[in-house]
Amino acid sequence: MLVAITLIVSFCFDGIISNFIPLHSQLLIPLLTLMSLLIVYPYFNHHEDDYLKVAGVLGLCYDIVFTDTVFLNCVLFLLVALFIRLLNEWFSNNIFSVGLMAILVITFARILEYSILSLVGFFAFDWMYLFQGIYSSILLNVIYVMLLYVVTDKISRKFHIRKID
Amino acid sequence: MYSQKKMDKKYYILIGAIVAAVLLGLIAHIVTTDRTLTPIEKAIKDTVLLVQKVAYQPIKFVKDKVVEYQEKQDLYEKYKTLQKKVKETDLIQAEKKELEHQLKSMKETLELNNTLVETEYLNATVVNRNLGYWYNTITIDKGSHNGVEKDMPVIVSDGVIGKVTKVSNFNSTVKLLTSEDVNNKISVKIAVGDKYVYGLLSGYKRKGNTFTVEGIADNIEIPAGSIVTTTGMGDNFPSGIMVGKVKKVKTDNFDLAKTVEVTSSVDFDDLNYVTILKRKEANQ
Repeated sequence: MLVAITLIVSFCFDGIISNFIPLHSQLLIPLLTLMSLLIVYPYFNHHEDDYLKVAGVLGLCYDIVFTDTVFLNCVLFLLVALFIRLLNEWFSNNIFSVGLMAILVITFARILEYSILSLVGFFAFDWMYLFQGIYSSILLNVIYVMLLYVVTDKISRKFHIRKID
Repeated sequence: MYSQKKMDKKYYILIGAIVAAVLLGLIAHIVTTDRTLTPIEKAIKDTVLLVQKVAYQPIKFVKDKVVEYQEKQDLYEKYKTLQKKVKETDLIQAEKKELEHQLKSMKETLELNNTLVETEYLNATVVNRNLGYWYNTITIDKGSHNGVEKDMPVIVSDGVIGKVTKVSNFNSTVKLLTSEDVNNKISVKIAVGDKYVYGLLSGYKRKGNTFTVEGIADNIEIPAGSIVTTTGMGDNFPSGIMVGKVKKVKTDNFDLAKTVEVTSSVDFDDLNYVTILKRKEANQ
């Protein structure tokens, strides 16, 4: 239940928050749905197949509702989910490591998406544009992921919801 | 045993490479071609955006109140500026009526039913702004149910912003002129005295909010501040919609053609309400 609420709220927030942020913001580009994937991973308690399925479906929804690019975000979210699984083997689960993992996830996702779009001829590769895409997404999403971590952690303690530490 | 494992590994790599190639091909097809949304996509998109719209209403109410308060702060200055503009508008109105009359009589003489500039207007609210970052699109709350069709031009009061690329029943996606997409080029004209210089709007720079116009003959002097509008030819944009003003003129590396830097008349960072232009059918 906590997982579903976290994902749905983040998905809706992604759309709503975009209306408050300048179109070409240099600091506050939202990637809240992707960040929610990072937060919900420990609540799957090693049921990694379910986690990957959820990531794929969420990516597909993101494709249909926000970007009209069926399969691109589906694949991207799946690969990010695998990356998050890998990161969770290296990092423990606390507010600071979640912040650090968020930066790595954003960088990974941006490089991957930009490379795919360049590869399929959507636009010409430009290092500066890619770099802009990465740094403009970090601030807002790291703050969001840390807040979300605090909120979900408190709720999970209160209702004794199990998660990996 | 060892050789069997080695073979298995090779097969996995081969299958992985095939799957990756197929996926890339599929993504290339989806991203670069003009496909229409399937009924399932339309249904999911409309439902989720409706939920999001309902959730956004209380926040929108507060946001509108804050904007209203900020606008009230410099009300007197705005009133003075508008007073000046009203006087100018009277003159323009009179001129417009005269031109309309002339146009009508000319059309009657030539038995024309439709011109490039005849359009209907449909207002829409922006629901999402550029999610996905690279695509430079916005989602608006009008769709095929409201008569929106693919490739219809979209403007704001300051000028042209883009065109409709995807249409669902109650929402549409608008690709902005700021898009890096190599296929996103429109033809424009620059007013130089009584003449027009034609070119192609090709690139956009975020810094300075400027477009690049290419394909201009080298023998024409273009002064800074010249008005740039759409041509109404070749694409779906009607003639005479404001794009911006000339900022700088540069000659290309081979001294063959000019490249014009145009400051956009639209603030792309703050798009809340837009207007879709529907071209009137012939004999209407």
